[in-house]
Amino acid sequence: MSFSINGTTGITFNDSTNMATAASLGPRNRIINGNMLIDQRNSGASVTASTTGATTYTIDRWSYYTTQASKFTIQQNAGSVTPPSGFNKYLGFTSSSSYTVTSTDLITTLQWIEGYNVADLNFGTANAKTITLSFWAYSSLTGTFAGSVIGTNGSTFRSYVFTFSIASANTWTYITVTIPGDTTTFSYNTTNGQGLALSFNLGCGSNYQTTAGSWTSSNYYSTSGAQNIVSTNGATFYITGVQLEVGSVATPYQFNTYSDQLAQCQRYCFRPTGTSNVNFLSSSGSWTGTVVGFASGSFPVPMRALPSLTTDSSTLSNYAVYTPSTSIFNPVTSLSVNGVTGTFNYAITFGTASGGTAGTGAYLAQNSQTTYGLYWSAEL
Amino acid sequence: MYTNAQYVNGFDGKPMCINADLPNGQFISIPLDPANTDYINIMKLVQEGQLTIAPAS
Repeated sequence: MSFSINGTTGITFNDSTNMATAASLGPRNRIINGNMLIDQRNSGASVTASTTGATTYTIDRWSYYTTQASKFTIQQNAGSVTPPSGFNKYLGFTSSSSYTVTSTDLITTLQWIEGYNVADLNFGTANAKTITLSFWAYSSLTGTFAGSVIGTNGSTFRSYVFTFSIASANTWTYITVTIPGDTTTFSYNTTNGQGLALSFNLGCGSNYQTTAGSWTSSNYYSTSGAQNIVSTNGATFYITGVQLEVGSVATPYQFNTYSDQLAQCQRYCFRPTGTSNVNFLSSSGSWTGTVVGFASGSFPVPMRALPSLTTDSSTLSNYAVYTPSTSIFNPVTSLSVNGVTGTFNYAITFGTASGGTAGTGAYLAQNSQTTYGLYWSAEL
Repeated sequence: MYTNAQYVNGFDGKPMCINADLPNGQFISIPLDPANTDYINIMKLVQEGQLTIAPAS
């Protein structure tokens, strides 16, 4: 392979890719699951967010926020188009209606990056570093689209709205956006809380719009005149290969091994899975009485914070406690995060109507790990 | 977004988590950790007067 070096683009390889900074030589993508490969919660199934004013997680690390119910279906590889070369998966949004946003509407997909992972950017100081965003986008619409980078100190926000253009409908388009570091004094979170968010606008009103191309106070997601995808029934918007890195040049997408990428995701969401679907035994423990006990286990990687336990079904009788000494499954009547749960290990306190003997071994079982699964969440 | 929210006590008789139902038919058990996003969200609803968390039974 040959390459050239100059003072503007740095090293240019003979496949026309560039590396302009030493930061390009190591792990550089601050986005996790940018190639949309990991989908622990939904396993590729479609999601329709019916809850307003709340965050819904789609594929791992990517959330969806909406002020209007059921405006999009969201799915890994929605529409089954061929992803751009080098990718197998993408995150797809399909508009469910033709909806005209009001000033207070906000519909967006975003990924919060943990503060630890952007601390070196020195945002909020005179030494803030330039960053570059790159991704592939595909839409049934053409024109100017918008997104934003948002930072927080835990109570107030800074944001930078950017625009990008898709000239050809239903064609994958490679987008790069270079964003200057935020040099305005501001205490960006640099620990395990929300650091920076990357957002793509799906539909937002004037309250969340500002001029593109500069840092500003508060949280903005779009700019006047940009496409609101929610306004067109059946409109599609797909993205993949999302990378946010230091420097002013977009480098090729940084692929990780599947196991490394899964581990990155599991810091924020861990869904135990196994080979047995029916009566899947997700964790083991012991009865501490006739109707109460605990099941425990270890997280594959340290969670970001103490995690919540979520079950796919609020009908807890879809979960059971299996006692090997009696070979009996007793339906669960209560599940709770035990107080000894940490970021490395967990314990679940379970309750049943009967079936226990203090001191005997027990397993927490699920009728179906796919339909009645459970997962741990420490999302941002 | 949370309903039927209730504190759950541990073996020491002190609250160890908050259990609630989610609108999409899910159940959630939330640790009392100020860094947990669900805890932040549910306490915000309490502060805004939109949610009451029942004491442990």
